[in-house]
Amino acid sequence: MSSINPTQGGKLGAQSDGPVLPHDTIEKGHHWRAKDDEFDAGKLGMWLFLGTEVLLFAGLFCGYAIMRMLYPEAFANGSHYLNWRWGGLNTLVLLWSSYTIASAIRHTQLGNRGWATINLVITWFCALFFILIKFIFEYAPKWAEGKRPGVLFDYAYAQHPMEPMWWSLYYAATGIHASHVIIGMGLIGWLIYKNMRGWYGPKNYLAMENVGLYWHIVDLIWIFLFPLLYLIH
Amino acid sequence: MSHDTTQPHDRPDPSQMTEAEYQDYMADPHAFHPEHHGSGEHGGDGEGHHVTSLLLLRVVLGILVLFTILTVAASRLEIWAAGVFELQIPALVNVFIAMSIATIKATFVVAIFMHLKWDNRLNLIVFLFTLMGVGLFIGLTALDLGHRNEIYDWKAKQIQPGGLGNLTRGEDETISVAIVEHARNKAIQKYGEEEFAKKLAEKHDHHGHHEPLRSANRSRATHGLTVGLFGAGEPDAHDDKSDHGGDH
Repeated sequence: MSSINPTQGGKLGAQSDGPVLPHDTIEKGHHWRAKDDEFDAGKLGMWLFLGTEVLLFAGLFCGYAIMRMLYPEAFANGSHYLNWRWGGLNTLVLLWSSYTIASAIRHTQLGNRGWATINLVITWFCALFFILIKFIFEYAPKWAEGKRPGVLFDYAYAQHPMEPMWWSLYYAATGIHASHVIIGMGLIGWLIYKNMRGWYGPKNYLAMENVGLYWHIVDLIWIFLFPLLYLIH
Repeated sequence: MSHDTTQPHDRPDPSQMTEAEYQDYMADPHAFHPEHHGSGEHGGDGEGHHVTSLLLLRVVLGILVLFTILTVAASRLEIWAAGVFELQIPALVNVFIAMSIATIKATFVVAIFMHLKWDNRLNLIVFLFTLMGVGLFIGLTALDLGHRNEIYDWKAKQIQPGGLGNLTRGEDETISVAIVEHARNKAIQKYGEEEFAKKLAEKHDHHGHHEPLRSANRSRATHGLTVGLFGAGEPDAHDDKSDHGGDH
């Protein structure tokens, strides 16, 4: 991990004229041959983790495919219960948040700490918006009506005996995705905090890059979930 | 670098180096020859790294939004068309269109937003192998599910307890037989008993008669180990040493 050397303040092209920021004096971990090695290895590690995330959701998609093949009617009924407008709005929100976090990384690479913070904050609010829409306008009404997963199912007007399976899949897929969004909110919040303290800049943006990668995978999953759940009948 | 590789490589001797040579040596003791010379303790992280242009980011965002609208429009259009023209559009069409558009969107996100286009090629390989994993996952499952309704004709009848060994061998057509016996029965039907016996003899040189099939329940013929194991109606299971002549 990198360490700070506060005695070397001001010498190395500081980002600010005032107090020395941690970014200005950051060094690579001493076990690395070169700073680029640290960066490349960190990114590779993140891509490997993202591979596991993709496989996690692939399991859910596989379950979806099985359910679709076995009970097409229950599936068709189930997807009619969903409102594509909420799903579409959430899709646009996540796409926008993907843009803003890529923008934040770009600003960090260029040394614009202020703009990076602003973009990260926008991303965080997009994530919050996603969660609020999901829970207030999608989950809550459905739960109240009895459209619930598994043994909690209580909807009296279902048309097909296997509809509870649709709801199980719906809540599992969107729920695990929503939990990833909430985790992402935590990560982005951490980035905002550290960025405001001056940790990130052109010489140190691996953490931002990695959280950005995570956030893009979350967006990617939703890009696939949205048509599969909301649009295909 | 031309050095004599037949002799043991001399370890560099720091005491023989000038200050400049020593600094060079310590920066890269194993002579990896890194591309960036500024990759020392400080700097070198942001140097040479590709910065995505703002215009490109915005263009890609626009494309993504456009494709989202497209995929919603395609879905609504299909519903409208099915209603107005009273068509029954197969679900596969809708799935294919939606997944194609989603894949295009995903490609843009991964290549541009996730920076994979300009990144270390190894990250791309990791991602592609992940996709291969997903493909295997869903593909093999779909293969299995797609063939769930198949019933093999050699299993299509009542299956006796004890598996397909068919311990009570007989002419009972309602009982499933082992696949070898099924194939044999088909050939007997096709060629007739005698012709089949001749063919079998040609192949296995068994003095003109065919052996009864060993029970599929047992991989090796046994005899006499368990009292009553071979009941009255059962063919003799004989091992290699016994007389092949006989009682059939």
